[in-house]
Amino acid sequence: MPVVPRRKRKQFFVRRKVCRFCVDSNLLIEYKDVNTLRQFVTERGKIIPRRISGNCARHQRHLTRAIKQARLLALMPYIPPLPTS
Amino acid sequence: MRRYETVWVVHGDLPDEEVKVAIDKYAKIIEAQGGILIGLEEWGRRKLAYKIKGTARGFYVLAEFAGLPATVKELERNYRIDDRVIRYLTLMKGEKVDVAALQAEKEARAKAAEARPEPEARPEPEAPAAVEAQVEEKAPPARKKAPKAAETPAEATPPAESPAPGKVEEE
Repeated sequence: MPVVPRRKRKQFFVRRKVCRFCVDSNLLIEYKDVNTLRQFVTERGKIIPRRISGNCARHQRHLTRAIKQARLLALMPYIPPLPTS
Repeated sequence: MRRYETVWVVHGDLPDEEVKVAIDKYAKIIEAQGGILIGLEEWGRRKLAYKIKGTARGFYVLAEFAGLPATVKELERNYRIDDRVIRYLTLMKGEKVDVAALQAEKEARAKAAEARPEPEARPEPEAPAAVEAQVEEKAPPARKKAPKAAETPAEATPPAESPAPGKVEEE
């Protein structure tokens, strides 16, 4: 990543993570918007934790709910599809 | 009355006529139960993320309506009985509704639907509901938007505390 850190902390570069939904209020969290939700799950369909995605608590909560609703409607997988199918 | 949104998935292997019946039935139930149907949106046949009742395809229908809790209860009771419906989800969108405003919205939508004779075939990108249905099309702009969105705050918010990064890190 082309980051030029201004300060070092314990040899690690501290990268500021920001909640994408706080930044862009147009970005809605909805079970229908599968493409947005897909950015917050792993390849195996697991919800990415807040500590990694950088979402704020509130939006992570909404996101989690939306993902689970999408899963129920088979818009998103609970588990990744089998390679043969 | 409350405002609700309900999605139901009709078994995808059924013939079109049968699907049509399964759609109209629920639209009628909403109105028969004292609800006001604001808009009905057919997302069409889509591939399911996993198999349900032996099928990998489903016909998605979204209805927005206003009604009473009893309306929803009756609607969901029917979903459960009906073998054609493989999944459903009903969400409350608002506590109170203005009936006059709903009628206006309903008419506006009906007009918009007329203007666009084939909403299913190729939805216009500016129609928000249609865009949601066609998720595949939306993919590139959404992805483009994300890093850009992350950039702005990083520069704006933490001048002293942390260095400004390019984008949200995903390990």
